[in-house]
Amino acid sequence: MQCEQFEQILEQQETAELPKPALEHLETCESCRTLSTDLATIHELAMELGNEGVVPPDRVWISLRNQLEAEGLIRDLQTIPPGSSQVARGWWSFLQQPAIAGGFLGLVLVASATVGYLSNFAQTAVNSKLTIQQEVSAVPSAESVFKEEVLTVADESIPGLQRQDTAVTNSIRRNLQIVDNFIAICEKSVREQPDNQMAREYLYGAYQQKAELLASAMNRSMTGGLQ
Amino acid sequence: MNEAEAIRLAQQGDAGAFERIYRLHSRRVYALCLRMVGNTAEAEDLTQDAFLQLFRKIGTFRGESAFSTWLHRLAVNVVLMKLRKKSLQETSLEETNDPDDDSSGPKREIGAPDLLLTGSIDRVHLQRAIEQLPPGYRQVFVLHDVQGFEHNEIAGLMDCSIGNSKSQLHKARMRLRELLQETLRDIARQERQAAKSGGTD
Repeated sequence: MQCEQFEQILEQQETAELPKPALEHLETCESCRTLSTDLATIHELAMELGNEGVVPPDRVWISLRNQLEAEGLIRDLQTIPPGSSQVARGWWSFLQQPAIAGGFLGLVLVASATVGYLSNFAQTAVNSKLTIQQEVSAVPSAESVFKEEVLTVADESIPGLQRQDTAVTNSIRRNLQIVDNFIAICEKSVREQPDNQMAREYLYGAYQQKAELLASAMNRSMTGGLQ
Repeated sequence: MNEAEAIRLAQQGDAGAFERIYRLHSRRVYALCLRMVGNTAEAEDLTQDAFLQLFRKIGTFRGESAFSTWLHRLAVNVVLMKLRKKSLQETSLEETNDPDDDSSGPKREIGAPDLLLTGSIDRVHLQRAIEQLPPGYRQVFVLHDVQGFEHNEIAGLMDCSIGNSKSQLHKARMRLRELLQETLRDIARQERQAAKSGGTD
């Protein structure tokens, strides 16, 4: 066997699998023996390279996580404080799924829209809603201003409601309680992660739902309900 | 949290599970990217891309194959796609892309001394030599010798024949041998110069 033939065999087969004629050539040809040994050395070092730990810098994970959050692929259970009840955790886990959160808010919207359809929305509440819609996108101070406004409206609306139809009042109260719980969870999340835009948007959305509920409640108290 | 549990939770969108999966596999994926492109900034981008694609598709993982295999194939595809898109150089395995290689087979240096690499080179030398390989050679060498892919897998990944994969691997090893021998000669030359300058002092 010639050296060229040996190399052709070496190209197709690993050293350990060489046929007998190639092995016989190896015994007599120092050059091919050296070649074979060198290639085996390279292969062994390459395998060591493969097992060598190369750690990517932390910025890769940070950047990846930001991207995943931006796409809404991940949620963070750790945003719920350790002292929170299992119920709150369950709520949070449940609501953090975008589809569920959207569905939930949609249901609240439908409920409030139904009530609103049956009565006329008070102009002041509509104005509040419009204000919030305009400011949803950014300004953090709008959060506190709006919250104060909503709470004031709530104080004025609920007592008036008590004199009205009990079933509708109870329904609005239940919805308000749901939205209040959601707002509380969102506020905690925003406090803990001020840069989390998604949590902030959920919070503004919840405020908006509450405004709509209160608008309809206030209107009912002003007009005397549907009776 | 074991891997199976992490996968299940990640499929539900759990952030901690995503991070667990990332920590478990990021070293291997990053090493693959780094050795394929030879550039840390690009390797970081590719690692991020690979995991991003993984997490986008994790809901479709049903466990028929090993998760690490699935992830690794995905990472390789991300790297290869990126390299193709960037058109750094021709990466087709159907043609020789080593500018120094004007023959169809491996070269033997007639008259050149056979420097035995065993015991003289280490992983650092090899890593540097790998970085000097033409992209086509480097990809096959990294996939086969460093990452442990079989020729049939490489053929599938790189859309070439098994014979071509074997041929490219052999040429890559031969080119590496030349590069490493050059390194050894450089080291010997520097040692001689150091000895000379030490003797004259």
